[in-house]
Amino acid sequence: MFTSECRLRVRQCLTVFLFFAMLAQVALAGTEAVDRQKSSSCHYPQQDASVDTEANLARRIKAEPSTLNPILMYTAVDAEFEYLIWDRPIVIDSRFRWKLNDSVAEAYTEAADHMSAVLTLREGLCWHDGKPFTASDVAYSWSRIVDERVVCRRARTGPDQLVSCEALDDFRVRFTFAQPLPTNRWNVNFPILPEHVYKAVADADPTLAASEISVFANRNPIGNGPYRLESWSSGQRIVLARWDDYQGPKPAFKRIVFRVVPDNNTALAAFETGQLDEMELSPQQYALETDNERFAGKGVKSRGEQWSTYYIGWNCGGASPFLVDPKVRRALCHAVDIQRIIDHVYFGVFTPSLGLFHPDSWVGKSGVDPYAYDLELADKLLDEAGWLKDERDSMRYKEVMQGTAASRVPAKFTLSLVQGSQTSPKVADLMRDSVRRLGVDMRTETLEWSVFGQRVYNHEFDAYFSAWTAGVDPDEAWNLFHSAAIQGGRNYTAYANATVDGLFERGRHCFPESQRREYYREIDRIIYRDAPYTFLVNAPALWAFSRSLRGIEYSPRGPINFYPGVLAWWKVNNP
Amino acid sequence: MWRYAAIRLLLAVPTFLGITIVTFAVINLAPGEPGIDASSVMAFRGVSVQTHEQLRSCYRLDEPLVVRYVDWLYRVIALDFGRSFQDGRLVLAKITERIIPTLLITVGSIIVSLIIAVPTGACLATRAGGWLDRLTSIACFAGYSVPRYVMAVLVISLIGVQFDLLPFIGVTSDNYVQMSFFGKIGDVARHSVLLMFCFSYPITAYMIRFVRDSMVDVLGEDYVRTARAKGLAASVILYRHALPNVVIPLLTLIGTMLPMVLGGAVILEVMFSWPGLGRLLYESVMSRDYPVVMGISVLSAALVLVGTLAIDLAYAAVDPRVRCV
Repeated sequence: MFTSECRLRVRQCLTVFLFFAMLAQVALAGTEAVDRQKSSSCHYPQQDASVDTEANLARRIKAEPSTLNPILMYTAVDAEFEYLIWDRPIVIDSRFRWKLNDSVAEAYTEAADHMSAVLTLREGLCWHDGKPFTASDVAYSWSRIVDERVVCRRARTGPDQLVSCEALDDFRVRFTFAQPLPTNRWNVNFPILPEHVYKAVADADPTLAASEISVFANRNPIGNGPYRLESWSSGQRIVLARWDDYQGPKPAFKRIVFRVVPDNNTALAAFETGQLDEMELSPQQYALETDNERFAGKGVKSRGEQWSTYYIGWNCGGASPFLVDPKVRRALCHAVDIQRIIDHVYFGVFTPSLGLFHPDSWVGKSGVDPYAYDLELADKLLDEAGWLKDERDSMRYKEVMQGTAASRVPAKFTLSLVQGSQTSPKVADLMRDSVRRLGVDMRTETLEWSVFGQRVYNHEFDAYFSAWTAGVDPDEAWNLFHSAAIQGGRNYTAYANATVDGLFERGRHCFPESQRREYYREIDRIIYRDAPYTFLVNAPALWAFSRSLRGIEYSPRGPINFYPGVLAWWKVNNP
Repeated sequence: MWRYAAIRLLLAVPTFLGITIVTFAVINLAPGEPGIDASSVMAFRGVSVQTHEQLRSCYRLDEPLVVRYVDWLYRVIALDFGRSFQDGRLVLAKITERIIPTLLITVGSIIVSLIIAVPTGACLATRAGGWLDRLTSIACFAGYSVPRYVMAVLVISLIGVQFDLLPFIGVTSDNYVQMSFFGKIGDVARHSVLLMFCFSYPITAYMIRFVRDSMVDVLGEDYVRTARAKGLAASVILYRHALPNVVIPLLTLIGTMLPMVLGGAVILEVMFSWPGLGRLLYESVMSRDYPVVMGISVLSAALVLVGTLAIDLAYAAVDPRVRCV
């Protein structure tokens, strides 16, 4: 039996216990909050003592960037600097998903009618020179990007779909769209310029590129990202130094040194002597030149799935009467022994391509399989298309109306290749072997880089060998296969199919992702059937990394060019 | 002498104009256009018609070729080579930046080759037909026959990677700015050694053979026999009497090397990541950066003309018969 005194003591004890328990809980919660804050303030594991925060990272670039003005950038090398010097409110994550960059932005709110959106920036942000980063910078950048006097080769696609971009106050920007599109949230993802720097530049030179003041600003960028430009030794190296006042998550490297090494073999030699910490490997280097002790002493090689496809584009627009018929193109698809190409040309490193959209993308698998290597079926398809073998020379011919008269046309085409590629002539050789057996005359022409580009741009080819890397949204394939993109777009094959056009339009305007997925899967199936492209292989990202590097993640574009990408790498003291 | 110099100078003007016309026509009439190369066309979003037209207008490609040439020539007279299509920088600034590393290698290589080749060639001439002469001949032919890029792969693999003795990328180290004056010189020298070796060994091999053959011819001349008969020392005959007569054909040989001095060795500059003029020219041709290509071509042409003129004048100075032509 408890007395009242005893009850009182128990109650007092319980009260004291509860009081301390609450205190402990508050204290623990506080610690947890601080820890969370701490862990989010660095891209690397801050608790890990082996992380070397004084280390430099030596990266390889094949050429110098053309500019360090983010709205004028257009080369692959230019893109390497993007996430390092500049911080965007919206970024692409490692799975190619749209992501609000919480170092820069607090919220992105789209109106119910999808015709406008408001982006709220974080307060207290600043540029490398200490000037505040505000909504006005965002609005100003958009005005420069859409200004016709500025030659924006890349940055204008997307922002040009906006009707306006206005700063509501210091921290809020309102975007107004021309149409309600699910891709509008990508269209507002454009680079930001410091208005206080470029306003003076634009007043003197509206092109932002053709005067000394522009060149100076473009080569001495004022950014807002975790790194700032320290030095640029022309043709040799570019050094970025960690910006200590950066308010987002801190990167591990004190400096990032970009070494300009144009030659692949020299780059591998430099990697093996420790002058580079990372480099992209060619399939040959990956398969044959990196299995030795010297390489193993310095680094490791790795590969990651990439949404990069090698293909042959067929001119469907009538330049060659042979290639107009989809049956002929399907026959040629069946004449390509992809596994043999992978084994003999790509050292077994590449994988067969599975069509327009990578199976890992949100479009997923559309149910098409690679064309099987089947010369009998290819023969049958060519017969059905009316291209019949002449017993005298075993080549195929067809009576084709040319103007008002019919003439006997041989089955032939020329495959255009870019000069300098070591692999494409080998692919062409393997293909020629099979195609010849079908009774088709296949020739190749190797064109210099610039000439190749111009011929393809002007549709002056029968077939061309090339590669492309998929974008973040399947709508970007609109530019490849919509008939409206034949003139002035990237539909170089001049492929036109009203059903595909309609599906692209529906996909572009439809919001539910599940519905969009179905449209794009259907497009994939039709493209597969009509074969304006012969999808050959998927090229994985092949990379060599120093043994001391950690934190590397692959995206559909390899280990770089996404957020956080290189920012999340670090070096350990004793690898 | 002055009249001769004036005539040679006047002849250089139409030659120079001819070179500029041919170069301008070739680079502008070649297929392909700036901004429409394969990488741009195949890139993520391609090149839109508007951007294409904008680029053409910006680069003035929509104007007739003759108008562009006359305008370009007018500006070149004022030493304004225009701006690069690639990065908007002044062409002259880009060339100035890249010319020093190239001159360092090319002029340095020629000087090193001369220092090695002249005494070696002269020495071999006195032992013509002997075992040393034969051995050196074989070595020279072998050296002259090995392509520079093969030698580059070899020296990078052996000296650069295997033994890790010398750097093989770039001109300077990362900490170059912090180095002392002599430290900087040493650093550049260390970076130059392998490239300079690859650039100079065929020149040296050729020059040794050249000096040796010329010297053998000269040593058979009557005035050399007279000098011997007078009892002069062999070294005096060789270096004071015979060698000066080898200098004239050697000057011609160096004259033929002048175009190479500015053009550099494109492949070697790429292999050694050397930021020279040859690499810049190669990159500019590939990207159809017309102003830079024209700028380098004009400077090369000017240098060759000036070099040839200087050699002609030097001829005239050492050989009075030339002045009478």
